Amino acid sequence: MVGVLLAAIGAALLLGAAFERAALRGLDRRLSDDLDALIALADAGTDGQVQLRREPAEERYDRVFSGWYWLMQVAGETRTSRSAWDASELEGVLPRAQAQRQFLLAAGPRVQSLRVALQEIRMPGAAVPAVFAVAGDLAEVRAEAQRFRWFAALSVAIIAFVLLAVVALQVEFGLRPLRRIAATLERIRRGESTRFETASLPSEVAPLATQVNELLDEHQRRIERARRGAADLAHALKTPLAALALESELGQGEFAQRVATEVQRMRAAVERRLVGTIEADLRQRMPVRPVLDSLLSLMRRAYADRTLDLRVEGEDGVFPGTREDLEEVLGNLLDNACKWAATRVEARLVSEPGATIVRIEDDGPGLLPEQAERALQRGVRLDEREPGSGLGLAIVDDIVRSHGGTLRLGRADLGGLRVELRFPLPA
Amino acid sequence: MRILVAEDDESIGGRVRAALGEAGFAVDLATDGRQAEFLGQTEVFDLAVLDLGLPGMDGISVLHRWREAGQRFPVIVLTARSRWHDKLAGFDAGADDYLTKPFQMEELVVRVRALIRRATGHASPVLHCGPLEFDTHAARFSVGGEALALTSQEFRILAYLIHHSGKLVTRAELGEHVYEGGYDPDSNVLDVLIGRIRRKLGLDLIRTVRGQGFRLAAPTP
Repeated sequence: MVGVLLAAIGAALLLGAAFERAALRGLDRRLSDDLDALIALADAGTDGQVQLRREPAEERYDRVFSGWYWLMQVAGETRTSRSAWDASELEGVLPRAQAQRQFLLAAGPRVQSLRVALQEIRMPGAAVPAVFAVAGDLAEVRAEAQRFRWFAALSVAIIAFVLLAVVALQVEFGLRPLRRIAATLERIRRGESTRFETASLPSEVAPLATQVNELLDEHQRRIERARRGAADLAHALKTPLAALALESELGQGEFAQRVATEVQRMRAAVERRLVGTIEADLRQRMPVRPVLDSLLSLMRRAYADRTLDLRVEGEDGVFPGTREDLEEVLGNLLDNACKWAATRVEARLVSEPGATIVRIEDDGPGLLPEQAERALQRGVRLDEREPGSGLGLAIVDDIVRSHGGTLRLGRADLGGLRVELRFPLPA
Repeated sequence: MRILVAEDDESIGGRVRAALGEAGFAVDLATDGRQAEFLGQTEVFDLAVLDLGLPGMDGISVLHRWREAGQRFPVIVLTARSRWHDKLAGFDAGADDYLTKPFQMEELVVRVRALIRRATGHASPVLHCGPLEFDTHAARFSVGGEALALTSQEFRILAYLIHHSGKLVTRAELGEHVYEGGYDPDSNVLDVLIGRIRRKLGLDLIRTVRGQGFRLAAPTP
């Protein structure tokens, strides 16, 4: 940017200087021609006296102070053009004449800046050498140069502007594929996309996208391996932990108590590890109703002792994830509802454009607002009487969040707890 | 009441067997899937506790085969996997209840009792037969509010009879459901035990059906 501007200013100055020199040379040529013509008009008379046969005819040498003058000096006597009127300023330059033609700058009448061509010539048959000079006005050349400088500056400015515009456009268009890549990477980071569609990219950046895809795949494989390893380890630990827990039940006293406490802590850590292995795939669409139905039939058998009225209401909706995750969320919530319900548990499905809402209500004691807040913390059990690890709601909350959904606890129309799940469905 | 415990972990299997034995059940233990499947098909059980991660044949397959062959005894599934997906798979295969490892032994006992009671058609946790009462939660018999002191053999026999009160229970059936390993006791042993129970009850609730077996029924007024 700054470079372009400096180059433009430099170019304008150089052009101006070159033009001025060319104009000056043009003036010099013209003066030289006029000097030749003047010399050609002179010859030595029989008396050896140099004289002009006639004066130059050009009108510019007759008009007073026209800026164009000629002079001839022979033996201290000077003849000048009519235009010079009073040539005293010009005469000062004549002594500098030599046999070789010269071009000088000199001041003229009325403070004119003049260019002077002069030469001393000894005519054949002449007694003394004669000095001839022709002067032209520099102002004309200077004005011409000034006009040219303006013109040059304007041209260069236009060129610079066009150049800058072209560069800006080139940057804009040239970097567009990179910006697309950046936008896609951002979507990948947010989990809305998993890889690049290399087919739709310009050929300059497609290899980059392919490389990034391979990097992403490699990462995915590593994550998958690590996740499987962690899940396998967690599962492998559960049976020995179960055995330890049972052994500790056998014992008495502080030691057995401590073992039981530590086993419980290890168990919580294992459960957390297992939930940590969940990965949401938001492109999936799992109908909710069949999962609710099969879970309710499970609940009816598991809670066959209690005469619970279990119902599903509303039309079907879809869940943006796998069947396993949906089962995990609804299984935990329905199990909680059944544990606490007096007689009724109701699951209601609402399908909105762009979202699925599932509400699970019971007619149990419900939760106070501060209890509801605590219920979502890991490992907190609100009731020590009911069996369970106390991870249920926290696990559900984790899964719901990882699917971009929200979980809200509130008071049910039935009187107990209402859990409302909302899953946005990205198009 | 006879229970099949299919569990490959020695420590857990042993503990479950001990706890259920103490709770008044006859317990047979299988340590791999094939053995469990075989026992379930050939012996008589009132309930099975089935670990899903068995060697040889996994628990879900074992359960499928039992159900396909028409075995109707209730099954509690034990699973190390706490995901609901695994629980649903268990239920789809025909399980009646599930427990996630690690679990509390008391809870297993409570669930076993409840399942057996429901499977024999009793909705209430307290079974009645005239003045005789059996509290399935506490595993206690009482007559007119007075607790009844029974030996473990007597307890098993009376528990089986009260779950099937009003029905004829043959000697063979009683032997199969009261002793581990399907042990067929000498008829005299059963008669002696029944005689002792009758004396402790002080009531004529157990009738002997000649040549067939026994029936527990409330006295007709």
